[in-house]
Amino acid sequence: MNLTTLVKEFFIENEFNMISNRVALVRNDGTVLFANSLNSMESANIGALASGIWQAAQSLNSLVNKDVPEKHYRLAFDTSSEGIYLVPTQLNSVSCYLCCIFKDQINPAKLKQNMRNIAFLLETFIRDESVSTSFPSQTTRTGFLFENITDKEMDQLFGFTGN
Amino acid sequence: MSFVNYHTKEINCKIVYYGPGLGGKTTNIQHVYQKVSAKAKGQMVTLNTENERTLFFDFLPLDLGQIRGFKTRFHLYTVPGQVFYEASRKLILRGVDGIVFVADSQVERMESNIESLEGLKKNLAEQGHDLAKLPIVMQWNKRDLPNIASTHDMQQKLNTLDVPTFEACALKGEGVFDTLKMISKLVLLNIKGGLED
Repeated sequence: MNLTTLVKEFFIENEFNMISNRVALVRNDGTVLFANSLNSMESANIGALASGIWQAAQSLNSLVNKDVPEKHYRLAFDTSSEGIYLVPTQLNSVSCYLCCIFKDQINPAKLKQNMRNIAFLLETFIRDESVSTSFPSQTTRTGFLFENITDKEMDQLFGFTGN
Repeated sequence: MSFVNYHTKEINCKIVYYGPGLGGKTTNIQHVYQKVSAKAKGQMVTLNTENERTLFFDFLPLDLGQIRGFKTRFHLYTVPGQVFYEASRKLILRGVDGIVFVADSQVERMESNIESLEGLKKNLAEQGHDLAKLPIVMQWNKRDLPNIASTHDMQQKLNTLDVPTFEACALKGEGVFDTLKMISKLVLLNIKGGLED
């Protein structure tokens, strides 16, 4: 089973997808591995922005604090009832962020604690499953996905643009 | 780094529009956003300054349909072009699969183009990338303006790697999709990991 399928199962079966209005697991380059949003385009935006703010915060922090492992940090932007919260997690050597956007929370501290627990459980779960994740399988496969692509195929890909 | 899900047959790739300030990077993806059908695009994210200069990045997710059964999604990013945003540019280049270098064709902007290209090489090298091995397309933008450098001159000064080039006027949409189509093709052809395990 590949990583994205396994991550999805982990969230759905444990109902972790329901802990907040928006929950997403984002790879450090902004690629979304899981999101509870039904709109995949919205998820893509969450991925880009979550990755962006984390990395910007990390760079800012490194001006003063050197050599502190990333896993020791969390990122919050919130009021007493709404906001965003990011926790780093390492899935088979791939750096990811668990991100939630929440509103009308009576106890945000509890939500944040749950997020940290989920990140830890997910890390353990993936490690224990010792799955052939998408990343190693992509890197251990030989050759290229497409040996050639014709201009006609590219025209079809861009056909809907009217250009 | 591209992301291929072999089970669900999905490909995600990251393309970054790079170049000097006011060169037309944002205009490129704004044109794409305007022309692409609603079902194929997400909301365009722009993190701007008050005077509409890119502060951090622009982002546009684009679903391009299927190629040989694989659903393709491209994430288009622009970097802020202004010189003092170097730190932001480095961040946005992380995990990049392909570059569109948008050069300003005006003669007086040639130094800025060269400086930006040198910065790109340096920033990629810091992340272990070699510009010569990464899919890249050059766009000579603003060809409609007076006082522009000849394409021969731009080629000589900027395209030492001899990568594909396109003349463009992004404001009018000319050359925008030709550029995007070419970089998309190069990126797809560069995805490592064949179908055989």
